[in-house]
Amino acid sequence: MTSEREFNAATVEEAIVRAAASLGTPVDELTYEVMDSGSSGFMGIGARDARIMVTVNESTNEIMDPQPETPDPGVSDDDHEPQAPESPEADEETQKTVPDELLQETRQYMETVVGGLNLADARLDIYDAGDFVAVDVTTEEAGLFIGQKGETIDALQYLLNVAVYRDRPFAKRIILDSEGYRQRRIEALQGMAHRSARRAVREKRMIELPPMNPAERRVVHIFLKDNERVTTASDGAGDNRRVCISPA
Amino acid sequence: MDRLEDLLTFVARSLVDEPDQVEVSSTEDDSRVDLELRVAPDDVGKVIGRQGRTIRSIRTVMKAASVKIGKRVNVEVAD
Repeated sequence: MTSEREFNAATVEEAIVRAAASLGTPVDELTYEVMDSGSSGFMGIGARDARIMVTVNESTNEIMDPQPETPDPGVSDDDHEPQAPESPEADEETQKTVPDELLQETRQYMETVVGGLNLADARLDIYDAGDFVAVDVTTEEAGLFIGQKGETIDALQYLLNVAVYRDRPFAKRIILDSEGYRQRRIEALQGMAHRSARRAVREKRMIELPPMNPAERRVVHIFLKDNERVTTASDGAGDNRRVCISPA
Repeated sequence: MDRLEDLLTFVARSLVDEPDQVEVSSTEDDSRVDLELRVAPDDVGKVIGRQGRTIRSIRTVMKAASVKIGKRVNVEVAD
């Protein structure tokens, strides 16, 4: 008998090592398929875990299969840390995974919304990515789902987070993505930050960027943090808040 | 437009304490759809949100949902 189990980690290599450790199978004997080679993103935004689907041979794996309800000190399971971590924040990779019912509720919500938007050929990929819960929407109509400057995907992400955490304690932010939009947006913002910083230095004056949401402003601030020739600050209120880049 | 009404009803129900009291009605003409959202009095704040962020997000999502019917959509919360 065989079954499939999914493993994720920052890179495909790490996911393979993790799968091998968890299943008690040598790395070179694993049968797996790479589902997503992952992306490092930028400061945790746009990052996507690498994911592999491992075909598990049940007969060799019975003893190693982790039983969450009855922890057996003699058998190692997914959590192959030498001892319980002192501070949970110390290693983001070992964060508690979110309960399945949270992922299921997220799926139900997204299935309904994707139907309501009448998106063609939409496919949902929902998983715990360690730092956050990832919802990846594959559709031929990604432009409609994302909206101008991401307004639709951001609005939906906000509503989804409010709805899912309405009657349970907050666990991890749920981040929506489609067709690599988050990563592309970060790269576009960094390009804009870079060009505007050069212009601020060349023209010896403050350059104002267009209004952005907090996450996007953060990308710009962090990107220019190590640039000694400029300083950045945010100015304005609410929807009109923008990053200002001044020569140092 | 049933699809728009259903979507707005679903999104609103996911935000409030009394989902049974969520009601959506619509009026439609050639160029626009007006959706009226009715919720329990104590839930009005929940669908509007801090500084109107929730209702703004709802309107953005409903706007995307109306693209395919080629009409402007307007969402108002009844009071």
